Amino acid sequence: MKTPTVPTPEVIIDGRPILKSLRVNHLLMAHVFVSVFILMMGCEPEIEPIRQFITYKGDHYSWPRVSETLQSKTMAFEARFNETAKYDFKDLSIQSDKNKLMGFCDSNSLPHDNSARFAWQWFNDRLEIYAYCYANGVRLEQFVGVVELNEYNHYEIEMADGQYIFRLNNLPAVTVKRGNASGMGAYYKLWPYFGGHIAAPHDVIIDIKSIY
Amino acid sequence: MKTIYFILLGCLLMAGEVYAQPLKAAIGIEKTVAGTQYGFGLVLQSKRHWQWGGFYQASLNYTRDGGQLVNPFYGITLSAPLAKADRLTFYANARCGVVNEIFIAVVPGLETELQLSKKISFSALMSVRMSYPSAQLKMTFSL
Repeated sequence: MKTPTVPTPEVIIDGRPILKSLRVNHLLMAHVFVSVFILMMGCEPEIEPIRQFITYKGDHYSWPRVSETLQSKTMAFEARFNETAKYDFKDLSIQSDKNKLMGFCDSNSLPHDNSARFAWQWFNDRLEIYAYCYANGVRLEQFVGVVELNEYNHYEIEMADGQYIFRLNNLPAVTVKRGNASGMGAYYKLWPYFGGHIAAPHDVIIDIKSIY
Repeated sequence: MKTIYFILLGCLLMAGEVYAQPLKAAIGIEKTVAGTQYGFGLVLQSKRHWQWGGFYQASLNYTRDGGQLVNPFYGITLSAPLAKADRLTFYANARCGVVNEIFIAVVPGLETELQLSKKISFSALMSVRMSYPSAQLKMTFSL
């Protein structure tokens, strides 16, 4: 004798019982919301992204090599030098060569065409900071101020119409002429570089804290 | 605001061009080294699961006077499927666009999409923004 089939309480759609499917979806949804909560609401304190750049003895470029573009009209960062910033080349013309701290290339330009950077030199037994720019291939330098070793100082370069505005801590702002490059494009960041003509006489260490 | 209209219009025009391909709308939140950004996008998906479209996202800056959108990032997005397993699909993603009107940015990433239902999916996208890792969570709706 044939036994009667018991009707299933579930509706089958796409070969899958709908009630079971809904249950799975609820589980997935719960999983998703827990993931969102964990990813977005982490209670660890935020850290400040600090990079330590080292220019090794005999080299110009610093490590690590970083490739990054600017995404704001104001580049702001904090930098700290230590005793490794001191050097003595016994020749004032070389001693006054500007070492580059940080800055950027203007829209789609190369550093020696259109760029703006902070530069530094150990001169007169102190660490001097300069605005160091190229405007349509012409180099422009201007003294900005003096900073102490082993402490963070605040640096800012603002792009304005026809000029760059350099700010160091609370010192008066310094303006430098800007070249023709502007508008939409890639603005590559430029990182620490020793020289000038002469390479680093010893390892030079600079800590940089980017402000985004 | 004009930008948002252009992105929406562009995506709708593209939808007209490729009539057979389904249109998807997404809302998302991305955590970057520079803060959290909120945004939306419209993408088309081919039969082989390639996705392309436009997106807009920005940070919210709260002041005493209210919220304000800052650091807008908008452009085009392209996702290529790497692997598919049941409800999960893995994509290689690239976003190309403009930040703050003039700064061109290219953002590579890896996306994992979880199909919650026929119409809704959830994605986690790991990218590199400003040379630091960023995480984006997206909810996508088939239109």
